[in-house]
Amino acid sequence: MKRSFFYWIFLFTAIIISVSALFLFFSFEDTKNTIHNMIFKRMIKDISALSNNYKKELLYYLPKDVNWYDFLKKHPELQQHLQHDLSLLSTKDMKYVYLLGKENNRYVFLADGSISDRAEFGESFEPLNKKKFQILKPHYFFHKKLKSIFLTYINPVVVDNRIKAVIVTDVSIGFIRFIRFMLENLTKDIYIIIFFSVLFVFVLISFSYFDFKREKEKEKLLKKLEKANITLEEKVREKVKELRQKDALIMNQSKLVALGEMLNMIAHQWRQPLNALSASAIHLELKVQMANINKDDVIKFTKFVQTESQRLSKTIDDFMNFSKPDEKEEEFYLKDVIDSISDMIKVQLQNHNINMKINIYEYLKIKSYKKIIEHILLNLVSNARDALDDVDIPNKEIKIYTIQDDEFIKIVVYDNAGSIPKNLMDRIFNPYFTTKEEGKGTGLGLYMSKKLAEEKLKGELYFENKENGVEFILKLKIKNEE
Amino acid sequence: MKKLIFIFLIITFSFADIKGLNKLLSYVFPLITHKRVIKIYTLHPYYKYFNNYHFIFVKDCKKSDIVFGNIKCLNKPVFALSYDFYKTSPNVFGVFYYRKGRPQLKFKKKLLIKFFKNIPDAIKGYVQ
Repeated sequence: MKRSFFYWIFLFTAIIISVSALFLFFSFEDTKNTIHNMIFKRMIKDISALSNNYKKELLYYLPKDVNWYDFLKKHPELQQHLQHDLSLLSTKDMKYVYLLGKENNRYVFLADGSISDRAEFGESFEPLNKKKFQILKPHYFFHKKLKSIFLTYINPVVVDNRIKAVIVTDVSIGFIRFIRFMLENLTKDIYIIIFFSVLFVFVLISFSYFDFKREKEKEKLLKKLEKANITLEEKVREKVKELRQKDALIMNQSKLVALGEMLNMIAHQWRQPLNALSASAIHLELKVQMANINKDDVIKFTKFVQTESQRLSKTIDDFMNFSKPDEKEEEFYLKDVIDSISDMIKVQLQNHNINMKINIYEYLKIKSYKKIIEHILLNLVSNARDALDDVDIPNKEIKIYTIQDDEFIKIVVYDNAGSIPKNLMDRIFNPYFTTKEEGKGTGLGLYMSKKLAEEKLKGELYFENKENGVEFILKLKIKNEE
Repeated sequence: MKKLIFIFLIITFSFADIKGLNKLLSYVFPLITHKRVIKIYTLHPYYKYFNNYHFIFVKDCKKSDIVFGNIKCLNKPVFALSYDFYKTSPNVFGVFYYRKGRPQLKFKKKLLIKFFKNIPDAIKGYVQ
């Protein structure tokens, strides 16, 4: 499945934003921890430094070889002094700062510098985890269970590898809360940015998804359309094939019709010479029976037979020429074509009392398919003859003439058998349409003529109703010799 | 073993306030008084609702076995809730309070013997 351009853009943007958001998140978390740790370490350093100073003071004032509780009990002024100094270390963050000593294996307050919750000298103190108070090195530990204290820093005062006292500093949770509060505001902003980034990514992914879905749907439709197109193409191809087959069939039928027509014409053409030959033979036979024949008669008879035979032969040649198909265009005199048609149909027309008038310039030359033009014109003249047969008028006539300009030549076949009725005008060139009586017409003549005129001659064939008649016009483009 | 349970209770108490104190006292008081049911007098409305079948809260301090809170009542043994009261009042045998956020439990040896004639092993570490 091919993804759209926008799909990749959305996806790329979503990835970039996701990676940026992740980077921002981790980077921020890292920075937060760094800030936190830095402040924390700084604070531990400060506490350590202060308690070390105080440790020095203790070691300065208090003798190392006595119990400090007992000593301070006897020297309350020194205890007061040490407590006062210890209170100087106490701040809001260093909530409780106190000095624990030991008495009867129990921790007791030697001094308490705390601002609040101050214990008195000698008060016993029970730490939650005694072990933490027994470590010889300064250290700190966190409280998870105490509400107000976050961390306890223990600085033991060690003399001869024994803990004489412990300086304890409890760091208020407020301190860490303050740091957290400071960072929290920043965290909120970061989370808002991340939230909107995630939201945006979600929107982008949604867009990508819908775009992908749309593309998929589009592709599906395109496939359907392609399939439909293929089916349509196949259908069109089939129809074209059918039409071609139909055309070929019509063409064959048309040829048969033309052949019939031709035979008819040949019959008409031959009838007169055959009658003449027959009459001449009878005449010769009579002369032989009457013994009134001489050499001249025989020579005259044979010459006559020869002449008539040649005439019959010529008729066959004419028709043979006519029926030969054109393979290429040729230049010819139009008058020759009309004369040829006239020769073929003249006898028939005379028999039907039709007068044919031809008015064509003798030297009019055109370049086209001669046989096709002959075929079309013969068809038009035959139709005119049939139309005139059906009417009862005194002067039946067919006129063939031409109209010419620089570009076109129009060959007009006119008959005065009346105009074509309006209701038939649209159908006159349709295949199998005929107004002739059954057996006389097939309805293919005009259809084939029009088809040949348009497809082969690249011209036009149409008709115009005239007063008392109709004109069929074959319009051809004049082609000049190069 | 008892000591360990006691320490556990103290730690538990320190984090669970009233419920923890209830558990601690219901363990300590029967130990020192040798009674299953102890009559307690207190003015602290908060503690009156200790859900404990060892305690019966009485309205008259004279009828009580232990006075609970920073209250003085004749010669009755008092279990205080502040160090100052524990230190200054003569009949306070024990105290529970917080110092530096840590729970502290203390008993006066003299008064334990005076009132209850007994110092249970479990609380010996807290007796002064």
